[in-house]
Amino acid sequence: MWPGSYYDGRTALRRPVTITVMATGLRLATEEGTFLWWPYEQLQLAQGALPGEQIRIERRPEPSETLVVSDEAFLSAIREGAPEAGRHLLPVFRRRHWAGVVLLAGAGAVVAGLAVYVWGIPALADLAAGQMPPAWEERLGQAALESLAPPQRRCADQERDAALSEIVARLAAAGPRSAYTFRITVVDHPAVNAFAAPGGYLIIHLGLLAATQTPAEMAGVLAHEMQHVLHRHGTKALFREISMRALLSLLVGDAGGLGQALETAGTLGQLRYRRQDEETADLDGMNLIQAARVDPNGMVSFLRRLSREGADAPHGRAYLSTHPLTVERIKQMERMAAGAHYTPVPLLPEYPWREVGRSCVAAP
Amino acid sequence: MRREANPSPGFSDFCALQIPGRLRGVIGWAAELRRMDISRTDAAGGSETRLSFHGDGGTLFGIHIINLLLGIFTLGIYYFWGKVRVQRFLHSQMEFNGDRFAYHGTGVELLLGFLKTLGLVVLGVIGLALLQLLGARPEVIAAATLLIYTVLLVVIPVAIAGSRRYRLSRASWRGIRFSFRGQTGAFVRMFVSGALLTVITLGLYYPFFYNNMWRFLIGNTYYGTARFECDGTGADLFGRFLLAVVLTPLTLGLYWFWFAAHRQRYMWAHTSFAAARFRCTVTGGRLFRLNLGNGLLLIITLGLALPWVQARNIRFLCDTLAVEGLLGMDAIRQEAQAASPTGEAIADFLGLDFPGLAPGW
Repeated sequence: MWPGSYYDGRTALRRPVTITVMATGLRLATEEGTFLWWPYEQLQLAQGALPGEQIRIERRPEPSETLVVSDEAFLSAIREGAPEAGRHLLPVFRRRHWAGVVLLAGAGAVVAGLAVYVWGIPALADLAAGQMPPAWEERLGQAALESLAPPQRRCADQERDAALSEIVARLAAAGPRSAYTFRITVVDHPAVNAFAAPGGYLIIHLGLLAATQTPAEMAGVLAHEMQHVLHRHGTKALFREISMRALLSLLVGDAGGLGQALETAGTLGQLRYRRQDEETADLDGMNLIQAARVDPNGMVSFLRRLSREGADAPHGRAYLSTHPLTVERIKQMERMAAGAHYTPVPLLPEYPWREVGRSCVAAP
Repeated sequence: MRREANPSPGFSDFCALQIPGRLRGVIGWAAELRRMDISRTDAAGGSETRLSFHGDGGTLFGIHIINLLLGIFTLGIYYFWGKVRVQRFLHSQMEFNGDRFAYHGTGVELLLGFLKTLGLVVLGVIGLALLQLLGARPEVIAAATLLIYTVLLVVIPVAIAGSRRYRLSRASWRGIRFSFRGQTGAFVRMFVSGALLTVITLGLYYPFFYNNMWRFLIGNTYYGTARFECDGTGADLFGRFLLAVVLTPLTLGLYWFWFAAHRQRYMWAHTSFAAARFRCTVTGGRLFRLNLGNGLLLIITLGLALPWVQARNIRFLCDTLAVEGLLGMDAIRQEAQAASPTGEAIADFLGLDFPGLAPGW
């Protein structure tokens, strides 16, 4: 016999009832001496699994009648009195297990969050980026080009562009067939830096051109950046960034945050590649250099000079900050260069390379 | 995070609490409860009835943690069920006159509302992309900008009314549902004209706008067959508002708490249900201390104390709002109204969150 409150769903009046748990239903006795019969199959537990919650049972159809019981032992009484019939009425977690459930959920959330962060997001992002048609990547690349190389800062020197294109063409011909068309944009900026935007857009700062001493050194930089494009590193980084933001907005319970995540698509230029992406680009870049029979020492000498002097020269730091160099990586490149046994075919023998980074004619 | 960045304007109105979104709904209905509830059978004439909140921040924190875990496992889909879980807990912990509130929303309907909203947003994005095809001429950009602001100006009141209609329809006390029966079209007209007038008059129209919103949102609220009545006027608030305009900058914004408290006391004093009237006893000082305490708690705990802050806000409401007089419970009958969750989803999408009862702004 359990005390409870009954509401008929039509009026705003509370009626005290006494409840008896039977094998197939609940029997409600009102104070006036009338009885209500509530078969279990018509009942639904609307609330009562949390500590401090009253047990609220509803009987359909709408407007449903409601029964409220304050004593939490009432659910146990149903469990014992009608183990089969009352099963669907019982909450999955009982409230005395609440603290344990919360603790477990907290630990689980931390572990699951870490797993998603470390493996899930990169794997999903790589998968998604791999499915993206090259035409879409080109669209992305154009957006990045607008911010990394604003039109008024682009240099238009036809001879130089032709020379750079020749290097790229020779490298591209030596590599696997790909869906990308490589396009070079030279930007009037003193920093020693270069970027690869998705879809084949290579952006070279004038300062980097000035810092290279031979076409072979330039080929080394270009081969590295081309590998970023071929491996879709930029697109993958973007996907990772978007998923990360989506996850964050999920953590703060904000479904609308997805829109903000998509906004980051515009900030492509600020994306950083991961260290392993840089290593891949180094390695495959060197392979590409060798396949194209370009002098492999160009890439090595450029990196070595940069790591030696770059930290002191104010404009040299830019490349190092976006392409972190380590001693091991330079050593690795040296080993690969030393292992190459072929006679390099000279690059651009006619072009006056000393002049390459000297001036910028603004694009019309 | 976003919520902290743009505190929703509606929020400060409900007895001026700085309450995070989900709780606001609770507070809203809590307020309703008070009004409605003094049942004639239980309350003698002239008696006072209050709301009380039995929940604690700790349990709320546990609910959020479990929602978080399930959210990760379901790639965010659980968000909607989590929202329901929180609402159900908050409602179940609010008591008026011996009976608890109940919440009847479901995760499935919230998810469907979200998908519908997503569809509308996608259509909007496609429309903008089509506009881009016309080129980046200045007149096209100007037209697109104007269009976006116009749409937003209309969508916001649609979301406010829709969200309120949904939330009230899913809240009950003693098995009787609440409902909101204001026409969305009428609210959009009132909102748009009020917002424009406020801008044109450099803000002077604000007290009238505020009063109109209150009367529309509260005055169209029903408990079963019985309606909440409002008889305030914007003119009554105008003097205090002018004072606030002068004093708020002079006091580095502090005076606004006192104005908000006055406004809340006035609005509730002019709100009634059956033969009962509301009485709000919030003061500027208390409001200031509540918000200061909440801010410090959140900063010190890096936001982890949010559930406790929510509980504090609800308790504050319970402490400052009372209903006096006869509620006429015998005459009230069930009269539930259908309500689509889409308005709620739009409000959620926009990052707006409105208390069940309090009007925005």
